[in-house]
Amino acid sequence: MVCPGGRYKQAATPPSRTTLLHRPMSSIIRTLRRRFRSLIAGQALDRELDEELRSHVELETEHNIGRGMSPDDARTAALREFGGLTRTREYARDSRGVRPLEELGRDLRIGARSLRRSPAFTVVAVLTLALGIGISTAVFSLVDGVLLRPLPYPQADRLVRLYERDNSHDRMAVAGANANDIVATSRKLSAVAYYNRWPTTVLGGDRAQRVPVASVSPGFFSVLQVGALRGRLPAAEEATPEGNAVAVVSNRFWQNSLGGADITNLTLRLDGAVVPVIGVMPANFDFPAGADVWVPTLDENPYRTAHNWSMIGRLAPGATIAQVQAELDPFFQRLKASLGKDVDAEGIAVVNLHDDLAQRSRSLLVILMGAVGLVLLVACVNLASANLARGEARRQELAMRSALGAGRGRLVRLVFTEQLVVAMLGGAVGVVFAFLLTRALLVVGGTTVPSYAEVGVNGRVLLFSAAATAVAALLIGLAPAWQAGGDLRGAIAGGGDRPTARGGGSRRLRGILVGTEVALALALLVGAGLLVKSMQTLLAQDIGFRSEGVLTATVSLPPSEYRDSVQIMSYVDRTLATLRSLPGVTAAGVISPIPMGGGGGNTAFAADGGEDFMGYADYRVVDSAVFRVLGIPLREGRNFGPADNAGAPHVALVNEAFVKKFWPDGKVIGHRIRPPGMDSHGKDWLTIVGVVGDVRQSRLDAPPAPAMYVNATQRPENLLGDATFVVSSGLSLAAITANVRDVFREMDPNVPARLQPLDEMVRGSLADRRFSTLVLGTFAALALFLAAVGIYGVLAYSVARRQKEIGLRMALGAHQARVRGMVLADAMRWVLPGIVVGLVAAVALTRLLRSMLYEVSATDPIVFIAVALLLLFVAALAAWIPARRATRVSPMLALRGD
Amino acid sequence: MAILTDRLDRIQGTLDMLILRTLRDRAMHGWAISHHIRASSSEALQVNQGALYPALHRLEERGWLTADWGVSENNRRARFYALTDEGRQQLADQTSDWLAFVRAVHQVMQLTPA
Repeated sequence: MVCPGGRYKQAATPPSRTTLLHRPMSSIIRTLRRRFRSLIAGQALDRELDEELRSHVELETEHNIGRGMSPDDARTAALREFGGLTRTREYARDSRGVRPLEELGRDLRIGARSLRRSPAFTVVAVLTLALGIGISTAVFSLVDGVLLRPLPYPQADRLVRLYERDNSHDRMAVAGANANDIVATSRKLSAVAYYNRWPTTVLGGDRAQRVPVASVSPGFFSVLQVGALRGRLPAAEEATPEGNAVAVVSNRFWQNSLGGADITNLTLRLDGAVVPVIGVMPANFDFPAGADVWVPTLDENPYRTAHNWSMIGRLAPGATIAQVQAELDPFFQRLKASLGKDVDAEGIAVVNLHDDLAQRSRSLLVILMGAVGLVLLVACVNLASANLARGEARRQELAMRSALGAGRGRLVRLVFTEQLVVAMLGGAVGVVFAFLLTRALLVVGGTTVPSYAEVGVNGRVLLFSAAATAVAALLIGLAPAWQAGGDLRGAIAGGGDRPTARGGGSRRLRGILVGTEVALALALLVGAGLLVKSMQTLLAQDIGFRSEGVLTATVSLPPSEYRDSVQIMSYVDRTLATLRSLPGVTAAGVISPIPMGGGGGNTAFAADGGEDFMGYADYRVVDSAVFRVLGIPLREGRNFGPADNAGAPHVALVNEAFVKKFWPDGKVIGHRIRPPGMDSHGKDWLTIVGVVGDVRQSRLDAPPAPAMYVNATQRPENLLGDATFVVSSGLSLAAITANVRDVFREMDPNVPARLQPLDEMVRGSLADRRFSTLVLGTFAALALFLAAVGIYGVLAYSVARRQKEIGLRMALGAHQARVRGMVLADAMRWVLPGIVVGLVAAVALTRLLRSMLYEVSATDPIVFIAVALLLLFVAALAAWIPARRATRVSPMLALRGD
Repeated sequence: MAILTDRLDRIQGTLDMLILRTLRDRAMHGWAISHHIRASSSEALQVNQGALYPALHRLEERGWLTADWGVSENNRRARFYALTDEGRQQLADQTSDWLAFVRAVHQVMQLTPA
């Protein structure tokens, strides 16, 4: 230390009265406190100090100019000098001469510098926020693509979907005859058309392919108002019942399968007909989803109960959905009145096309959005409580600024700006996360995300992240700002980090934040827990058939080549015989439609010679070997046998659900049933010869429905459009796949087969659930992690603050266990109410999940209890670490610290 | 080595004493005070404005200094501080205290083996 004492020797005078050095410390502190208060109090004083400081800078500037600096440099140097080598510039105050923008910039710099001083905190804070903002943004980009962004057609909000409805169904497909009448009648629709889409074998490309082909009525493209990218669209007169006059192909199909060739003279072979390709659609045109070929068609089927078509329309200028409904409902009522039983529709349902397409995803997206909102909230609460703790430690700095005249508004702004910097950094990193996460969500989401949705981080999505960032800044900045605006008395003298009456208030606030975090995480975890339990229940579900070790090969036989039952069965028999002869193949059979394959056929049937329908049942065509391949047990009677040939009386098998529903006494063998329109034997009766076990047909989460099985040898017609060969093998599927593919290639090179393991198909039926469970589970885990970090952080801080007290207690003989218990109890004081609040919130929130649950109640007590215990455990663990550390420190060390 | 008043102020009142001493012969404004302290300590003592102005106001409130707005040598408005009689008495008291303190420390230090 340099001692300036020498200069004072001459001034020596006799020893004095009271001096600062002799006064007791506490009295000095009291005095200082009083003085500082008076400094903050008066606005006039404040202004005067302000002016004085400015004059100081000006004097310094002139001094610098005097030393030969340019005026600008001089001022900069003066300001720097004023800041000295330390933080003085941060003690800057409301200088009224500075423009607001400049001031904001300065605040930001001060905030950034303050953050640089605690890099670990800053990194954790920014990452926490980035995570929250990133996942919110990613989920919002899904919401944006699926729900918010208009469909990619001109005036897409004018597009509607039309359904027939009756008393019990409000979304029935439209019968062709009705559809034609609607096209002819409606004045409130400027254009209206019907379409459907089937996988069809298409020849003429680089290879035979089974691709989705859409049959569309004239007007289809004028409804959507989309033109061809190349060539032209079909004219009205090119629409035929066969739908093979001309074809339009998707850009994808044109590029991949037709090699992007010039389309003049390009033809396809569809169902045996040579069809000229007249146009290529734009790349983004994907309606109906997945279609690769569009052919113009005109349905002439007179039956008004043949619900075969989807229907779309465009509202006429000025027309509304209600007007269309009002226009078409009377039409159906007149039809019903004149045709009676030949019409089953009682009216029309008109819905916005976008709403219709988004329907399946909407509730899931809303739930996910809510979930990420909660995660973001947990992240913010985490930072808010961390900031509160830091704020306590910063009171000295703030008091110093305050002593230099910074008003409360100024301090609040300063602290808040610092949080703004954190939030902005978090937002920026979050957007980067969002880019990656959005892609990941699309990959994981698969078909859960409708194909029309263009999902990406666009302007609106970025706007959303900006808004999320702003909200986050408010949430994390409010508490410390409030703290900064509070009473700083004693902070300088007290070293800032001393428990005061105010400290108690902050501790309470921190406790509430911990409780909030626990409650939020709990609500999310309960939601995720319910989904996981549903998923478990589903996976444990007995699907009624064996899917492991079974390979499926699905074909569509072109009707032009396979004209009758004999030709179809010849193909089927030859194929089955070859498959069975393959090395490693233990059994092979054929079925249409394959369970969980997405197809289905449901038919009304009459019984025992009656005319009236007894009810509805699934209709499947099988050969006798299928039951063995799929492991479906025969419960009663017999399987199809060689005697049941085409000439013999037709026989059928039914499932247990069928028996339970229609012959509850169980005596079903020998009864006769007749489905009228499924095959070419609509007038012939089938005798029930056996009962087989139930299988889940359409989805894992749909219970088995009544079903009838007809014999492929007797009624093979339905094998034409869609036949699935099933092969079981003692070898691995990979080992036989190539051989199986070759069999089909040799059987008919123009009939491509799609090979897929059956268990993959079964799992595919759970894709939506898997997605929601995975995503919600991830979010919940994230929330739990953040909450644990938050609890730990707050407790670690409060333990550190109480180190002295704890040391004292231990020095006085308190047992370690007792001290730990004290710390734990302190934590539980906030955690337990948080758990209670979280459980109550969960009861309210999980009701929204009800539609996504499977055989699990929205208030499943096991899930609720398990999650509460999990949180309690995690919270206790988070509290245990600081508690343990507190008792590890030697009491003497603890007492000396401070 | 430059000593910042942050540290200098650890011994409560040292800065006060330096200010009082600086103002012994004439009234000065804050900038001049900080420059004087720096110059007369051969740049060893650098007064942090964050400490200087609170100290000036503190001393003013105690009645050891008076302050008045005036015009600086180059026609700037500045706040000039001057010693009051009480301040002059304080300077005397503190100086003797300080010397007593320094002597005591010196004695202790000299007894300590080097």
